[in-house]
Amino acid sequence: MTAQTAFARQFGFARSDVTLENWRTHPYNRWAFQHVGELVPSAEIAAPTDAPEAPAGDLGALLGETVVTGAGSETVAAFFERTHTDAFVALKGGKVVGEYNAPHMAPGGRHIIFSISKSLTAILAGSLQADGLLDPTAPVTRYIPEAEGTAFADATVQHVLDMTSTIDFEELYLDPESAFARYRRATLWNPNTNGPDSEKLLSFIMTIGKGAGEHGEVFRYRSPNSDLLGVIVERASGLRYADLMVERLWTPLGAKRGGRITVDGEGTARAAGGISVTVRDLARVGELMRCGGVYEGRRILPESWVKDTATGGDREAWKKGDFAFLMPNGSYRNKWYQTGFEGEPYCGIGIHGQWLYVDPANEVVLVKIASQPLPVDDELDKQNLAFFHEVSKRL
Amino acid sequence: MVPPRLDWDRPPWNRWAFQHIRELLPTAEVWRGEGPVRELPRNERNLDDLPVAEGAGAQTLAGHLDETYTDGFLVLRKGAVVYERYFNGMTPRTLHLSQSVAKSVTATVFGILAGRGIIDPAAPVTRYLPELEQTGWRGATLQHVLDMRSGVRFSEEYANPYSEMGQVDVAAGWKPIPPGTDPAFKWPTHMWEMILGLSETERPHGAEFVYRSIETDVLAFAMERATGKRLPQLVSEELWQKIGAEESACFTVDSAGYALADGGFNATLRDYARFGQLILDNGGGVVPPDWIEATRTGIHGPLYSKSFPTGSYKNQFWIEDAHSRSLMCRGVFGQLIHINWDHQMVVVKLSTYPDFTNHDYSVGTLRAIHAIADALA
Repeated sequence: MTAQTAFARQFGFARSDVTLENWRTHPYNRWAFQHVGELVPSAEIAAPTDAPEAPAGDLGALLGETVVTGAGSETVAAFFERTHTDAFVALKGGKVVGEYNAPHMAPGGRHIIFSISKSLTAILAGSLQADGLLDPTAPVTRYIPEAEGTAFADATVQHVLDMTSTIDFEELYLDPESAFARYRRATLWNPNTNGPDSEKLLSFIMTIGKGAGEHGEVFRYRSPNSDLLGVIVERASGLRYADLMVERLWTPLGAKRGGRITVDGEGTARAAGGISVTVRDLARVGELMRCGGVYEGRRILPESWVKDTATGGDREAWKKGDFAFLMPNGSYRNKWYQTGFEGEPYCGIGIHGQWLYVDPANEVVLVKIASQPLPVDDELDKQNLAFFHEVSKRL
Repeated sequence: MVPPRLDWDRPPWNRWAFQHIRELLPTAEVWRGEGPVRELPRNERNLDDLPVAEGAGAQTLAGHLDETYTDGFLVLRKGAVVYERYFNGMTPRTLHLSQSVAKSVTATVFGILAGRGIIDPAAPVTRYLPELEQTGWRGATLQHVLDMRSGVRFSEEYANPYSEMGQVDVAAGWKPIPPGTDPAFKWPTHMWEMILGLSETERPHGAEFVYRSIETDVLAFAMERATGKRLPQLVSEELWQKIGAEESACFTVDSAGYALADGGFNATLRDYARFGQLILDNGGGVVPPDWIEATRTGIHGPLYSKSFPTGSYKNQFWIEDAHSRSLMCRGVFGQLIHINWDHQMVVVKLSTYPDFTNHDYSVGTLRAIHAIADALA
């Protein structure tokens, strides 16, 4: 209805053009990924205070340096632009090297991190495990009795943590008729009448049957595992997901801004992909991992859990799995990717170009968030990994 | 388990829902900015046992707050916190839905913009929204809309799903289409479409005050058009960044991203009090003092509200009576900001009544506010 609004000048389209049908597509995702709460109901992961964070400096000379990532040689600035980067921050030895924000990115603003949410959910599981509240070797049904009769009936929590369950579910991001589309509607990420009879996230997961083979053999990336883990940590702790995140991570970490997580029609958190946080707060999570579970002197996670998560993946299961092409020597443990690169960096990854890269050998943490047009882009994934590997060494 | 979508604003669900609107509905942030918090000095008095009603219905303040489903209650006198109480799980950081208090917040931003000459209350609505030439607002001025005196037909009936207010629930995204309703009925998909569908008038513009929420939404669309900015950004820039708010606030938004100006605002108890104090300070250098004065100058009579029978309504605020000219922002289910110049007092009450309105509770709360004023005088 509007002519030329401040919004349209900044983003090139009107706010009313962005809908639940198109929010994850280009160009609308450049705005929507920073404002998911305007589209999907969201619970607050409250920070200790709402005080704004002093801005980090820019990346200085690094932006002009040349990098080679598989698509020829270009400057870091050109690489950021070509890979639809919304923001980037680098830490070296715990100190902020600098931050980059695209012109359409509000500095210090929240941005959805998609499946890096899984890595944060696993941290909650690790924290509960340390307190004896969650046993990863226990059957899923200990925490979710109603999983009896589903794919998860004979799976353990560790299978769910490592994506080695076998379930009859394909991640078909672009097929509107698939079970995946039902899943999207149940999470309220796609249009849903949200009436009394509409399917909810947990009830959808409880319809998934077992896939081929046995649990524990093959790495199969299936997001409902992670949403289920979100429910498991709620049942194990007696707290709702967002409140558990506040207690176990956001408060001890001293996060500077409240996060958000999308919730479905009955309040179930989208633990597999619905978290929005600032790049600086996400870098704090990376720094916590880099420092073996300690942040600014505070022990938050057991060192043994962090070590297991960083190095303990099953390489055989990985080699038989979906993403072996990306990291031939990689593995996956507790919802973190072990790259298999020199120095054993590991990372959390989300669709549309979200990365949290932890490189203990170089004392580096990198966060790169983006609004890539495609949810999955193998070529850009390879280039991003090459970029992180290279930049970590240079820092 | 969060409340069912059809009934989240009804008892018992509203007791939780009004403190967790973000989890139920899409919302747009009203950013507090990077400025310092305006600290509220404290001059506390324990008023729990203050008698606020005598005779057969004798009651203390604490008793009144308990009886009337209070979630938060705060008294400012001369800018200092005298009394502050939270109930039902509410905390100083909780955002609470304030229903039609949003109208007064929206119109206060209008007053600021009018003071700058960006929008003219005397202008026809269609100067800013030419599309409304096809609607009942043709020929109405923005001042008519500000005072709820356009002649547009709009039923504020809450319980009828087909009433215009029932349609707003769907258009605003607050409720799914009610089950069992006529499948052929065409529900508006967002608030702008809702407004464009209101073609009838039932009296001449300006003739009479008739409380209709949709007038505030028209006001907000005119403000958005005049400035090129969305309402949450306007409230952020013009108010929430100016009052030293403690927390960012938020508006519910519909499927097209339009904020619900007539009732979708959520903020903390203290920030509502800061807003009230700004009005009490005759605009505090943020709102033009002549706008506040005009807002306190209404037509009194015949009857605007049974709860305060000599009151009036002006610029989206209620006036308690012609003598005190105290202003009130009021919302259904027991939301109130009461601004009293004689006693230099601001009182905020956030509640979750079991019913949209309750005459006895409203009258009792006004009586309690007067008792507090007398006790502190």
